[in-house]
Amino acid sequence: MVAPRLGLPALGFGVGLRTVHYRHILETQPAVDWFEAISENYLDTQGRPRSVLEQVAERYPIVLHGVSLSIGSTDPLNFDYLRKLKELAATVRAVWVSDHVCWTGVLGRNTHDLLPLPLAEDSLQHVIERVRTVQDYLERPLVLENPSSYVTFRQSTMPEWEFLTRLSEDANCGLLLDVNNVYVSSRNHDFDPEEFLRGVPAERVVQFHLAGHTDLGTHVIDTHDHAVVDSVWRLYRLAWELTRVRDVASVRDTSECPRHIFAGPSTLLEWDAHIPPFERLQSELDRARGFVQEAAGRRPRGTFNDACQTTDRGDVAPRPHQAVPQPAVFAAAEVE
Amino acid sequence: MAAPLSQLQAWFQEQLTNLGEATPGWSVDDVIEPSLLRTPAERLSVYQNAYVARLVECLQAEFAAVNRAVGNDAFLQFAAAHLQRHPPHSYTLGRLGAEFAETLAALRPPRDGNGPDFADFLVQLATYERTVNEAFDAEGPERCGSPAAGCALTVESLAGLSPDEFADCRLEFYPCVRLLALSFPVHEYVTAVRHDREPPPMTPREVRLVVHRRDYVVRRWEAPAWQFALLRELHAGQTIGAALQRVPLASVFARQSSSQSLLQPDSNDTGGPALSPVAPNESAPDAAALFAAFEEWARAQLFRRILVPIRQ
Repeated sequence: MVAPRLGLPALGFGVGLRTVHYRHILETQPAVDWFEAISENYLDTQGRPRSVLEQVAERYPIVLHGVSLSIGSTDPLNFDYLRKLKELAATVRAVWVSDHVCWTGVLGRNTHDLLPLPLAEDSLQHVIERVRTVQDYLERPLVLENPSSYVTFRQSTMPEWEFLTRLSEDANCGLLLDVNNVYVSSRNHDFDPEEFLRGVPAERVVQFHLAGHTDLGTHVIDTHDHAVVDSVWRLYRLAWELTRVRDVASVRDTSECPRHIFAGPSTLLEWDAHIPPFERLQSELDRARGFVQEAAGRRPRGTFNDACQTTDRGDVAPRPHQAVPQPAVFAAAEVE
Repeated sequence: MAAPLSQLQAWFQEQLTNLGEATPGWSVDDVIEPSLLRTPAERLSVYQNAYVARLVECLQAEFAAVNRAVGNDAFLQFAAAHLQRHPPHSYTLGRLGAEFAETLAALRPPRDGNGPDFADFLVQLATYERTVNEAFDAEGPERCGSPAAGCALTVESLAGLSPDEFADCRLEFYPCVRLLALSFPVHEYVTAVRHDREPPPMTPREVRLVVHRRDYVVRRWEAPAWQFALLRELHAGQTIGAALQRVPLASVFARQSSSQSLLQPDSNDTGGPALSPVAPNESAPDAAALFAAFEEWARAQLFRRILVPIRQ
């Protein structure tokens, strides 16, 4: 019997650390529980981004979230990357390190996309073996996210939730359940997202992701460019119900809030394009807290239905700009 | 079909990159399933479009001034050519633009004159924008701390050196320091673009830029020819004495000051080291000007430390 969240702390409600908010965060120390930083944006810089991350890490818990581990690639693991990742994780005292169940390139290339794996026995065993290697090297558990995907392979033999279940149990790693990605993939691959949520092992879910997407009618793209939509909030509430810890004595860290409210996976809001002011992110987090409080039987700040009424806009209409799936991480220099 | 994972990944990647790498000759329908609403090719196109769009977006962010100079359509063509010439291979997108100036140079049309032309301007513009990004991320002086930490160069740290010892010293620059000799004032163009102003017309002129970083902000300034030449010698690892000999300072300075030591700000200051004249029997540079330049460079935090030779 594995401990809930692999024994990792419950951090509460956080947001992704993005360049446009650096100044606001440092100057106002906003009321969020934790930050998630894109690992690759900080591995090779001795400049301001690294300095900001270290300052933020003095005040908030930090989780490192990668996009280039390429755990599913048939190219050799990049131990130079892993060495830098391990050093960065130690420097900022990362509570955990996460990445995606995907591959980013082969033959020495990197497409900088989170490419899908065929969900079959050989790729499962390949990933399990590499996760074990990485965990041994990093000396900490990996937490792996279900990516949004846009194709399925004819040679796949199992649903994604079975792949994730066997991967996490055999490799003894954690899961980052991106609720928006579950929704996006369910629309693209014609499956029931609730079946996905019920199919993954609740005790291995360390973290949730929430984000906005772009609905193009025939398919959905994971763009992280606007608010979380109604359909995803519904899934989030179900995911929370399925994974929350009822034995509150097992909770190690719940910030200043009542222990039982946040005794479940930590929640993280991603917003990577058309990024709004920080206060907008905080109001989105308030909505997530509302659902969790509601699930705990407390009076929420906003009801689920209230939230739905304010977030349905943009759920269907195609966006005017070109929809580019995340990740697109590039930090521009500041010049005098 | 149950292809080995390595073959499947090579095939899939080739569908995105079109690099012409040898992969199995499967059709899209062989590999990918349809959904209820989309064909296999339509589904794959999400990845194909995203590969180009994402990388072009990153190049546009790094080379905003080049984009402004050539317009979106031409920039897209340059970016697409760059992805073919230098397909990304690093785990970080920060490497994507490293050879963009090289791509522009390779694509330039034949010259029809002797002077610098628009293609030279574009190459230099890209070089400058890349240099700024490298200076932004490289190791700089901010974490240096106190002189006691051993990495802050001050005049006091030179105390006790004889003139000969001083001439044999080398200056270690911070990795964020870059020296650019250009034939256009591309930095003025970039500044205008960054401030959303109309860029000035680019007419050729010799520009010598020192690009560095202080307080986590990239700075740049135009250095006089003699300062730039001296910095370039020092940056290349020459000793201070050798650098002073290799740079024709005598022709730069109108005045002579052969009796004044170069790193003594005034006659009352006896704590600083003295520097021998540049070369025997030659006109020495104006010591005050040279001293002021060293002070300016130190204030700009170009140097991490002075490397003093070990005497046997």
